[in-house]
Amino acid sequence: MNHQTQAIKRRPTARKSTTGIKAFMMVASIAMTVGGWGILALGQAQGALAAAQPAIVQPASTINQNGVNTFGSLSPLRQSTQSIARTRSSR
Amino acid sequence: MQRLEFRAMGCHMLAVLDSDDAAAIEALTEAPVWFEEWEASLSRFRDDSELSALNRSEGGPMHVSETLWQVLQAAQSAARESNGLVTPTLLDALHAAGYDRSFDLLETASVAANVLTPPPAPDWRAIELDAPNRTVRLPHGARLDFGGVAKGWAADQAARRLGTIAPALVDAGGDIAISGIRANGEPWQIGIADPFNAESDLAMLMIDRGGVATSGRDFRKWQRAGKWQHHLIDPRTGAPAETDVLAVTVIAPTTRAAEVAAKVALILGSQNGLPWIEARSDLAGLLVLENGQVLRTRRLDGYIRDESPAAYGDMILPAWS
Repeated sequence: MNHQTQAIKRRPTARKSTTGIKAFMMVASIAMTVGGWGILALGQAQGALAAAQPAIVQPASTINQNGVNTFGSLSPLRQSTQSIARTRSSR
Repeated sequence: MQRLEFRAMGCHMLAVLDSDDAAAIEALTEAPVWFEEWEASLSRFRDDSELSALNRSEGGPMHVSETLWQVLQAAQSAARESNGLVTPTLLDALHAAGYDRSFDLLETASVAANVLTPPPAPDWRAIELDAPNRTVRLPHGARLDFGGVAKGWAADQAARRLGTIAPALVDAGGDIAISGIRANGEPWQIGIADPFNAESDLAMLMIDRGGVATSGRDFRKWQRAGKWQHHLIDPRTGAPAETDVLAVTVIAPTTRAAEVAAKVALILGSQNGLPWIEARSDLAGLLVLENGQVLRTRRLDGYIRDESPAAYGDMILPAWS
């Protein structure tokens, strides 16, 4: 009897724990979904902003040093290409 | 392909004909003669030039040559297109900044002179052109310097003349005119020199025809009373332009137009200069800022040599990053 009583008492405890985990997972899932939409929207906004603003590229003289997103990636191309003339300020 | 290099107008010149015919070689040798004739008429550094005579005319009418007439018209067009930012009436302002002799002599001249107060730029619209008589009357006190407009005009003229023989390119001190697509059907390859490192290029352009020019304050500069001066005068102040832009390269239908647009963008600074170029559908440009950033208009992409589109896309750093 005691055992049964204890068993009966245990069941609600177990249910409460499972319910708590499920609730937590639901909340987390909703938060992740909303967060994902937010990130997606932010990315689209940034894309739109990028389209609206002039592009910026860095000069070879500085970008060659960091090696990422660089004009430096064109260096082999430039080295393999001979320009016929070069535009520059008057000299 | 035949090349001829020479000096004229205080600059290094290059004329190229995409042909190996004897006629091409002979035609190339004419180019220095043309430039000498133009310089004799248009130079402000020669006392015996036609321009110097006009500057001494003190408001009287003067009959001018076809060359001076054409360049005057080009200069007035430049002033109109730029809303007065590129004007031929800045000779006295250049003198006030210390640019009172050819740049070769300026480098060895004393730089200890005082900085003079720049005079207000005379109104270019007050220059009177009488087309039927081909006479010019300058407003009182106005003296002219054609600067880059004359150089761009000369490059366009030389390329047009050489282009009757074969596809031609003329490089007038960095301002480049192209008569048409190369004999093999390919565009001409033009490097954009890095103003921070003259030995390397920022990008390689592919151009069929038209002009490309660069205006910059990275080379023609000097010190006066301890302060750096340069040759690109802002007519709103009469002094060398104070700008965050170090150099501007523009591609345009003509070298003269490219030269004007590059100067406008430099004087306006990056915030207004880049939109100024972007708003004109026949222009594409690249701005190098003093802080090392490089900005470009969207249309420049169509001229960049790009065997690897992915690599070219990777180098774009959007403004918000």
